This record gives sequence, C-alpha cells and structure tokens, in this order.
Amino acid sequence: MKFDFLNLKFIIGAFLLGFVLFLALFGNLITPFTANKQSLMDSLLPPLSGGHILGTDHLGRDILARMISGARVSLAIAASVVVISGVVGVIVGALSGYLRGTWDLVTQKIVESFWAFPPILLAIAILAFFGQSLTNVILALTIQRWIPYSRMSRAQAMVLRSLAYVESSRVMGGGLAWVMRRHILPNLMASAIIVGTFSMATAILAEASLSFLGLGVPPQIATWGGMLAEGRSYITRAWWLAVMPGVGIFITVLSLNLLGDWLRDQYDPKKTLNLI
Amino acid sequence: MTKTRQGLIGGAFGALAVLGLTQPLAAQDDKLLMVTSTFPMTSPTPYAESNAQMYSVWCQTYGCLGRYNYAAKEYQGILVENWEVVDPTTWRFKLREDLVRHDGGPGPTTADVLHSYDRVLNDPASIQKNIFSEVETIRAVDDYTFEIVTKKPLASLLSYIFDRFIITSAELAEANENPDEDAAFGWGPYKLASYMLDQEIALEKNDDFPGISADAPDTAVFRQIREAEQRVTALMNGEVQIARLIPPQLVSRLEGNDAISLAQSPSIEPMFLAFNPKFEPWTDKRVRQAAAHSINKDLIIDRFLMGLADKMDGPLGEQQICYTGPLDFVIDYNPEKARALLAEAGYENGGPKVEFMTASGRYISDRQVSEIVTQMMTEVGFEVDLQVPEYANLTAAMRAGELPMYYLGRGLFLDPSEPLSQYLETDVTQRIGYSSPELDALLQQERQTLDFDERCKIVRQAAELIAEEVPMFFMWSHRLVHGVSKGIEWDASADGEIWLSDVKM
Repeated sequence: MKFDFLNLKFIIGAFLLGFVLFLALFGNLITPFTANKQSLMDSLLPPLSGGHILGTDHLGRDILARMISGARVSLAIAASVVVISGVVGVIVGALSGYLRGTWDLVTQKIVESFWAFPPILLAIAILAFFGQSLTNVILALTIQRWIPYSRMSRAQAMVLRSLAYVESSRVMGGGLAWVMRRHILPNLMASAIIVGTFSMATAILAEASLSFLGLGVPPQIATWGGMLAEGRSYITRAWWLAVMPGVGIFITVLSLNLLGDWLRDQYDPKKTLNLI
Repeated sequence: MTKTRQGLIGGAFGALAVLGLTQPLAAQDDKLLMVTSTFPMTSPTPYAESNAQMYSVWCQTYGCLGRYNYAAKEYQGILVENWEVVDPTTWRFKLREDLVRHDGGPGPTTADVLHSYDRVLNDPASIQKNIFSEVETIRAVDDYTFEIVTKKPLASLLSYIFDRFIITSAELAEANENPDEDAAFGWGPYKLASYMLDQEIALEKNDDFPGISADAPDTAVFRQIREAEQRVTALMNGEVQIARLIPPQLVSRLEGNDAISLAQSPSIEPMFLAFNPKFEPWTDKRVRQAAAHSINKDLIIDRFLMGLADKMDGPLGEQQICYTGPLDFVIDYNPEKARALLAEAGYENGGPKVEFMTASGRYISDRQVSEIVTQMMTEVGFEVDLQVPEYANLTAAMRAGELPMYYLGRGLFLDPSEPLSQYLETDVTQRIGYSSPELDALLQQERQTLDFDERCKIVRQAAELIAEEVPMFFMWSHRLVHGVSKGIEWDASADGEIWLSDVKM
C-alpha cells in the first residue's frame, strides 16, 4: 500500500498535530513558568507583557504554561481512551462477528444497552459518583467509546469468517486464537486506526466538555476545558483567557480530523483499485 | 384564582417569551418589573421549598409574620402588628385586623396561623419543619392573638420564623381540594398572578394592602436565570430591569453603561474555612491557627475579588444581629508565624498533608478562591490536596462530618444563634465535629438571654473563643452587586431579596 504524503490534509494535519505534540513534550523549554504558580499581583496581564507570552489568567498564572499542561492532559487522556476502547472494542467485536451465536447475542445486547445512554450524561454520572481524577475521566470516556470499534469489527469479522482462506484455515485445524491472530485482527487494523483517529478528536472534545462543566480532572491539573470555563466570565476584559484554550482545542481536533480523513482516503478500496 | 386563569396567563407569558415580545410589553406598561431569580419555583405549595428567594416570594404574596429591615436594624411586621415576650418560653403575637384577602375574603386569623403551623409540620410536601425545631407549640389566645411556646428560652426565635412562617388560609384549604393551585389567595402586598414551574413567577400589586406605594411596580415577574453571564446579558438587552447577584468579574460589563446602575450591599452570608478537629492534623489548634495565618485575605479581596467583599475577623459582620465591633483576638496574615506554629506542632520538615474540599460555582468564585488558599497554605508548608466534588455529594459529606477541611458559606446568617449552634455546638450536627464545653455553655447561655445587650456580650465572648480556637476561619462576606435599569429606584439589602413594595418605578 502506497501512502500519499503530499496530500494537503496530511501536511496540514501532521504539522498542526506535530506542533501540539511539540508543545506538550518540550513546552517547558519555552516558558520559565509553571502551570499552577499563582501571582495575584500579576493577574490578567495581556499577551506579551511581564514576560508572559500568552499573558496571565485571573490568578496570575501563566497561560502558556497552562496551555502546555492542558495539551499533555488532553493528549494523554485521549490517547488512553483510544487505546483502551480500541483494544476492547476490536476484540469484542471480532469475537462477536466470528463466533456468532450466544456470544454475539449477549455482546450485542450489552452494546445496545451502553449505546442507549447519551455519552456525556453517562460520563457525568460516573464522575459524579466516583469523583474527580485522571483515571476516572479515562474510565468515564472509555466506557462507551469502545462501541464504534466493536460494531465496525463485528461487521467486518462477519464478512471475513466466510471467506475461503479463513474457512480453509479453520478446516485445517486452526484454533480460535490462531484464526483471530492470523486472519481476522490484521484485517481490522486499518479500519480501527481510522475510527481511532476520529475517536481521539471526539475524546479531546469530551474531556474538554467535562472539564468545562467542572467534572473533569482535579482543579490543580490545568486543562483546556477548565481554562475555557474560567475564561468565559472574563471574555470582555481578558479575551486571551478563553481564546487561547479554544484555539488549542480547535487546532488539535482539526489536525486529528484531517489526519483521519486522509487515512480514510488512503485505505479507500476505490483508490487502490484505481476506479476514480 | 382558577386553574384556567393561571393557565391563560401562564400561556400568555410563554407565548410572549417565545415571540420575544416581553420587551415591547415592558415598554407599553411602565410599571412592569422583570427581575432575575436564581432559585426555581418547583411547586405551588409554599411549604415545599426552603430557600430565601422563595420564602421572600411567598412572604410577599400569602404573607408571613414580618421581615427584618436592614436599614432600621429591626424586625417589622407584615401580617402581625406587634409582639411581646410573655415569659422566657412564650412569645405573643397580635395579627393585623386591617387586611383583606386577595379574593375579598377576611383577613388572617389565628385559625389560619394554626392551620399553617399544621401544614408546615404535617403536609407531605413540606420541607420546612426545621423552622419549628425549637418550638413546643402554637396556641390561640383569641381570633387575632396567638402564642408561640418554645422548648427552651430562645432569644433568637424571630430569626427562625419571622419571614419563614408562611400563613395560608384555613377557610380556602377546607373549601378546595388543591388550595395551592386553585385558590392561591393570601394577604400580602402582592398577589400571585401566574407561574411556570422552574421558569418564572408573576405577581400583581395588591392595591388593598395598607400603605402600598403608588410608585411600586404594578406587576413583577421573577424569571429564573441561573447563569450570571446570562443575567448580565438579559439586563443589557433590556429583558430584565433588575439582574441580581452579579459576580465581581462581570461587574465591569455593566460599569459605564448609561442605561444601568449598580446597587450594592454588604451581605449576611459569611464565607468560611472549616477545619474538622476529628481529622488529623486539625486536632491540633496550632495547625488550625497556622492555616489561618497563611491566608492573605486582604490580597484576595483587593486583587481577586476586586474589592467586592468585606473582610471578617469572626462570625459576625456589621449587618448581622449582635455585631459589636472588631474582635480583640484576630488571626492576621503572618506566614512566618504560620511556619513557626507548624514547626511547634511537629511539622518542621514539611507537611502536614490535608484534604481540602470546595464547591464550584455555588458561591462567588468558590473554586478559584480555594485554589488561592491552596497555594497560600502550600507556601507555609502544608501539602494540600484540593478536590471539587459535585455539590450534592459535597454537602452530603459535609453534613455527615466526613470532610476534614472545606470552604463554604452557610447561607443567610442574620442572627448568629442558630448557625453557630449548628456548626459548633457539641453534637448538634456533625458538620465540623468541634466540641468545647466552654463554647457550648456560652451558646446555650446566649440563647436563653432575652436582654438584647446582655445577649450580645455573650455572643461576643463566643466569637472571641471561635476566633482563637479556629474550628471555623471566617474569611469575608461577598458584596451583593445587582444591575438595575435606570428609572428604577431600589436599595439593595443585605439578604439580597427584592421586596417589591420597596421598589419605585
């Protein structure tokens, strides 16, 4: 398979995501301030004043340092959610589509039950019950996000199980683990990666929404959603409080969506068969 | 009032709101006042809610015994004309005889008082039983005189019941299956015109109420808008004429707007830090004092709260009953002393670790203030784990005595007697878990002292003891700031409530 790396979606998406990743990994080299260090005497300084590149918030904390912390939190949570929900969803869906029967019936009922809840409401309920922590946010976001992987994997596994080479493998004595490892799971990877890219973007938005509602991580951890919520009240006096985290969320989600789009195009069978 | 009428008026308001015609209506009728509220009306039953805003609405419609006048610093009657203390446990009240019910029926009598007392205690919807927690019984003396007998001498009785005991008609309750819905007539200066649960309540002026001003609004609508930003926007757009409780960070949006003025008042809701001595390290008074010494209240008020708070050195501020001036024992900002106290308590090498709980959005800038407090305590050596649980979980845990340290307000705190007992008297509640025989004795003594000056001396002694022992560290009371459209005269009071008869249009 040949990837088109000169595609504009890839170039812009990779550049923006690379920029966010750079900030998250090496941001400490850019600013001497830390995310939680307050200085009430320096509150609401505008960008490029007092040594603060992006200004300070209502508690005199450096916005850039908080943006960097927010990038780390957002990316760490989103990546964890995507990996955990991807692994769970693909395995459950693949088994469901390949085995069929009782396993399929039971898992599909579970899928339908989880799918019936509005996702943000379920997350709010979990966080209200278990309290605020990074782990609980990941749990709250993961609990429903494995379902798209599962549905996609099930549908593809149902097709794959009836293909000649899979049936041959089974007839020749290939066990469940063998068939899954050699024939089913590798064929699901491309689709799972595409779902994962879009899912990462929605996980970042969901985490920001929970933080905006005050239900995300504890207050000592800076997040973009939390910054946005705090900045809302100061929008007419200090626009940078809300605009900066908003831009952070926008850039990250846009970059992931562009990369997801690009990946989908690359794996499109019509492109491979040169039908268009 | 019939259900049909309520439905028609409610429907009309709904239609107007949908069509965005509320503003033209306000322009047509210059005596229509639109006011924001932050608590919803969830039931037509006046005993089904227990928040100051709804007590105020029911007090102005059905009627209550009276209210506290913050300007005059005295209680003033609404349905009662006078009252006296007969003996240490018996208070006698005389109802006014010049009132007419909104439907033209007779004025309030002791039968209505006894009926209302029964409803507070026995109506399945009632959540107001606590207002009579210290009352033994209420008995009629004659048609217009009744006596309230307390379980023990209780100097602060009026603060429990005066504007909380809503009087409804016994006659209408007998004649109607659903009196709160079908016959919502009382004796107050305003009549209930219509309502939409969880949205708004409309009141009409009762022109028959003695002394009601011609300048007071003819109609008033309390519209629920919980978000402060939305309240400010609604005021700037002319959708409401009074937007209540504007937080400091939004005041600048209204300053300089020629069509809007700001009404400001000190409040009677102290914000405090609680240190629960049932948990380590708060068992040690020196650690509690160290935490208090680490907090720079002046800096927080000046730089973060924009000067819109009044610093407190104890449980009482100027607007509260029995305030007798600054306390002698004051814990000032002194980080060096805080470090020394921690070292003396055995934490010279760092620590102690403390869990700190706060609310988010329930009080003005509560979470942000807690973040500042966290940093200030950290700077003197505490290791603070700040948590912001969901508010219902927070208050449930607080009431169960499960929080080691928290930042909250106590609600309206006019008379210190009940709140201090509630938080600090041994085993009255579990909210703080503090126990001091000396403080218990003072609180019991002040409750039983009916001589006002003598009582206030005892309250001061209790306040001094609290300031030194620091189970609660009183921070400040937020200034209440309201946005008011030009052309409306209204003096904000320390309880933040709007008494429509005080408004001039």
